Amino acid sequence: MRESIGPRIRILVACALAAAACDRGTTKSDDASAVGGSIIIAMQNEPRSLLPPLINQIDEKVVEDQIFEPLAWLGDEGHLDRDYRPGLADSWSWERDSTAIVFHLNPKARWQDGPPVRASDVRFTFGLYADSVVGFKDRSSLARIDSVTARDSVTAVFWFKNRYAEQFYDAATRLLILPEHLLAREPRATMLTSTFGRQPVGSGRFRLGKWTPNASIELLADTANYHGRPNLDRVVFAVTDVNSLSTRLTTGEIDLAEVSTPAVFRTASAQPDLRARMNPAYDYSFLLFNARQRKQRRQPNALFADVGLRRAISMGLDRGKLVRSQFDSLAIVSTGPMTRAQPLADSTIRTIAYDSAGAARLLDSLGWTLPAGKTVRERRGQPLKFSVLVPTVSANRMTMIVAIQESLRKLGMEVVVDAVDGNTFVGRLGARDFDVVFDGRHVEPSVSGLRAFWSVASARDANGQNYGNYENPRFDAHLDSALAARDLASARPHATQAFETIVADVPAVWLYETRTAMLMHKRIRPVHLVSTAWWAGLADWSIPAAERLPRDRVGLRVASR
Amino acid sequence: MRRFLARRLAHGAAVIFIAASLSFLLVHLAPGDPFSSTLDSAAISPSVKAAWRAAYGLDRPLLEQYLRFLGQLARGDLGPSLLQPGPASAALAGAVPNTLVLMGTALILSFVIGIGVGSWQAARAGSGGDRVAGNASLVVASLPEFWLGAVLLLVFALRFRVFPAGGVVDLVMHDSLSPAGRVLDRLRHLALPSLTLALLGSASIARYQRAALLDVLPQDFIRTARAKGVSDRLVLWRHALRNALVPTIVLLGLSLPTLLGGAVFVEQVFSWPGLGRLAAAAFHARDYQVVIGATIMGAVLVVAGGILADLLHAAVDPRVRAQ
Amino acid sequence: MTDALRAPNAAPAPSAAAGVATGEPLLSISQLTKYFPIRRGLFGREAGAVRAVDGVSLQVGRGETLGIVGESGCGKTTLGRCILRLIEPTSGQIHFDGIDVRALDPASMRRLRRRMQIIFQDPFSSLNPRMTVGAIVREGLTIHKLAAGAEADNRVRQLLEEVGLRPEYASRYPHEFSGGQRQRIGIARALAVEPELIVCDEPVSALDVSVQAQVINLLQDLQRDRGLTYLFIAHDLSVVEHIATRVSVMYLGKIVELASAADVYREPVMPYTQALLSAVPVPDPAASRERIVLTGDVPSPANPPSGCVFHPRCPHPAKDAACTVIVPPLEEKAPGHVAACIKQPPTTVPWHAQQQAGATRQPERHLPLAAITHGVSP
Repeated sequence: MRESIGPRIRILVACALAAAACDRGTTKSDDASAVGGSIIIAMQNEPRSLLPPLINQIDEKVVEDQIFEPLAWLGDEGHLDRDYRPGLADSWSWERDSTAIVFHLNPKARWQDGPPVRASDVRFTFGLYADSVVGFKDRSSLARIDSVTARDSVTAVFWFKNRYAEQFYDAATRLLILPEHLLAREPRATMLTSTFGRQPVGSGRFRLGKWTPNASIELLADTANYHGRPNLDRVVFAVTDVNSLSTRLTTGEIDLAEVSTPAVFRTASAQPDLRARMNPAYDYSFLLFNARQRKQRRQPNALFADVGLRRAISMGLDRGKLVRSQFDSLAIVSTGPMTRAQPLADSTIRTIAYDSAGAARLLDSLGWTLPAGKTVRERRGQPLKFSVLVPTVSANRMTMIVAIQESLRKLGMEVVVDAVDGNTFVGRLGARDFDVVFDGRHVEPSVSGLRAFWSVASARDANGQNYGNYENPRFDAHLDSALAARDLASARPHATQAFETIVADVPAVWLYETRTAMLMHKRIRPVHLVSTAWWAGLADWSIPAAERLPRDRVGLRVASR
Repeated sequence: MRRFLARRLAHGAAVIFIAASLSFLLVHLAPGDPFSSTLDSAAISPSVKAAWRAAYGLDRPLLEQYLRFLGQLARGDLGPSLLQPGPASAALAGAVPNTLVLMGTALILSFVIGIGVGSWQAARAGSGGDRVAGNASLVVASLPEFWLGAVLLLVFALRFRVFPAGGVVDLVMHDSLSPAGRVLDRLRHLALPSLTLALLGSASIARYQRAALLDVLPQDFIRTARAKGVSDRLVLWRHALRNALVPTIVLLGLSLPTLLGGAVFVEQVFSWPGLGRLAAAAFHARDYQVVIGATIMGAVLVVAGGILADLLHAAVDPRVRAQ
Repeated sequence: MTDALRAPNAAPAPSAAAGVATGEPLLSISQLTKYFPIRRGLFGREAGAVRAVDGVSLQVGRGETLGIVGESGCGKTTLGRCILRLIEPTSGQIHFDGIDVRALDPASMRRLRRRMQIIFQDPFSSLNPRMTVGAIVREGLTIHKLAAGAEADNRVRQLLEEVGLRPEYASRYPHEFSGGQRQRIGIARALAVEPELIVCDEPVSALDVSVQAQVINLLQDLQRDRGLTYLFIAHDLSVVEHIATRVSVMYLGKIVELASAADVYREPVMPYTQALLSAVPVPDPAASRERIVLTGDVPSPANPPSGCVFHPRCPHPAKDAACTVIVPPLEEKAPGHVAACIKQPPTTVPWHAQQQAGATRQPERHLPLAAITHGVSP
């Protein structure tokens, strides 16, 4: 770690800036014909609040990223250690020891209600995100930022406790900068119901037009924006039930939707007016074994403390077939606690192959034998029977658990499906009150989240998220080495070793990575389809004048707030 | 009549009070709370959640919360929503009109269709047409709302594209339309959801109406009317229907609860931002105050339906009015 | 058989004894028949028919009151309704004031209804419970465009007064009235259109005995004042006695005896009429007498007995096998007095014909004491 990644980034940033300038030059190039249009995007879950630190689901992020801005945007390629576009900051520099990053805000930046954006707003925003009572979910990712100071009115400095590979990512992209003048007096424990969350004011190129609860959120072009107005007049997010999504896409009531259901994808992608594009997967699901007794961390689990049994279950499931039959092309078989879209993911590591006969032999050798005339294996009179906790809110998991139950029945195991509602599920997961749970994770491009879910420290913390009590110090060591590496190339061998370790320990059966397909009306010309965030460049999307629909020609009326 | 009304209103108030109290108890006893309602929220530490509960007064003993709730309710206030800014009543105020429009239209349509079909059948009871209509109404009455809704959606929104598939208005175009265009836009969006509810309701109304007319038609006063020289059509409309409407009209009030239940499903199918969708979302998120408010609205509708049934009964039947 | 039935009515110039007013009859029906099909099974296959009215012929003169008497189920009510085409007859002719009633289209029929009205038996169910008395009486006026507006209101008040009700009752509903008052409303309603013929379908049988006489008197007063013609249907002879000029007796859809009221009460010919008369209550409680008790029930009109339909219950001493074979013609037994019985002399069915049909007993005149000692009004 002799060399910081600072200089490298700075060079890249210069290039990016130039590129962005050209980019904006073309879209803005007084090409009046590019301006105009209204698109309607399906939204499955209506946000409770549009206050960025309270982000709860992806639908909120899509909207908030239009109204608010980070200091910098992750570039189109999604590489964490290079490739950023300017956001609120139009340039940045590293302090010599790489423990501080200086962001130079665009001096023309203004809030949508008038006042200029200041470095003090950045400092205030960090304070808000970092305040535990506000409830920012990824607060742990800010743990290594010591403080944020305002060097002058347009210069904000992020001070770090130590150097690490993803410093820039954490500082520049995680925080959407908020207006201090509107939020300073808001009580922090009740931010969730703050009026600001329903009437957000940011510095982004779209501003909130009209929010009709249960129906739609309308964003309008902020014509006075310091970056220049967006091409589109209007983006409407329509709250759409998954059951009517296919119909509304087909009839053209919806222009764009992320689709995760194979049936909807098949119907909609057959429409001549729609273009389909696969998004990379950032979600993986797995059957997680509890290494300890339910709710009791001291006792090893009677069944699943045994790696042999865990391995046998994994061998007994034909994951390829399970995934294909349920998801078609909208999921792939998972290889470990990662998705292939993550830069550090290594899908070449050895995984447990499907081997039904091998699983049976392994079970026999472990003493789980099938008594004559019975269908369930026993060991010392104890039947091989366990329950799997499944949340009823997840249709995918509810469907797949039935197929899994059937596969394991053939191997002589009796699986009881313990289906519970979302609230109960979260409660029991947190209390580690289960033997096996059908769980899922959303990941970021960074693999830093692995620590929260699989480290020894997290297992021993009663509030930690290592619900299955997986403990292997060797995994922690490899992971720490990977996270501390100065760049991706040097991090990769450590990450691979970490993955190999955890996969060999079989703390879970890695089932599938779901990905979504994006369906978009063909008149829309998108740009900056960043692999992690297709919506990042929405303000520069356009609709050619010749292809406009009546709704594109409505124009930009002034909506009453 | 006035005393009767006063008694019914008092009775209704008691029902609403009980419904409010029960729903208060049930939502608070249901597992989870507003801050544990999503799968990911385990990321927020219990101490933070405890701070939130304290900030919203949810850490107080249930009895204390209940008394506070009653105090608010007595002032006509539901208290603040736990998940969005502003009072819970504001959230309801946005949704209730949509549901009332849907239910009102469906109610009118279902009675027009039901009384029309039932009367048509009764006028030719026993004929082939009567049997076909009778069997058809039996089939329709036993369909689930969401299924019929989905079929109408497939046929009229997807196949023939005559009506939009969801929502109350065109999300982009509505505000730029002329006043008449806006009304038409609303009607186009209202068509499929209200028709779904209306068809289901009309099936049973038609059966009621047919039976009621068949009870009335053989009576002497119908013969009296014909003997006077009143034409067959007038006999049906002025003499028979007015008497046969009594059981059907009473059904009008009593069908409100069923209609509300159906609206909950139909609102989901057609993305209709009404009380049903609001209640489902609020319950999912454990937004206590909104759930209770929605329950109260439901109870009000049921009580109002009962009173409406009595008033209508009195309006069409002079014998009841006298009492 | 048809000849025999037609004979008495076709007989020219009904005698004064039969009480027919002079001139053309106002109502004339011949061979009127109403069969109600009996449907069975899933597809409504016609499995037979109820012969509710079976070839009835009669005439009613202007200003006359013809009583029609019979047990319930004999078809008298159906006959009344068929005449007004409230029920469509199966066959036969109806002439009202020379108009072929059955040939009229619906609109003309409705216009004709102004001239022929009906008063129903049940004063409770025959008034629309959802209309005010005023509206009920008024409807006929407006339908036939006899009066409108204030004039119609005046007419309604007049009519109510005429039937003995207070004019202000017009704004009340039927359920507020007693049975007798309601029947008066029914009469006012029928009178509203100024009809010439009123079919009174058992107008008093649902009323208390105490009010029956009042209503009968009202009907008689109205007949006198307005020159009305009544077809008065009743199930017991005592009511008809007070009002009818002529009486016809019906049994199983057929007329079995027809004569002036005085003749019928003095000298009933048909054994069935005799039995009916014996059942009329005696006004003097001290006077006791024998009753002719008919055995068995009224046979089903869907499956009437062969020959004389009355033969299974007939108490005539000369009843024999011929009664079960020969359909008795409705024939004149005395001037203006027709009856259907081959065992009451004189008869047009000769003895040898009866013997061929298995007769063993000669016709003989039979008039039991019970049938005539009930105290015919002086």
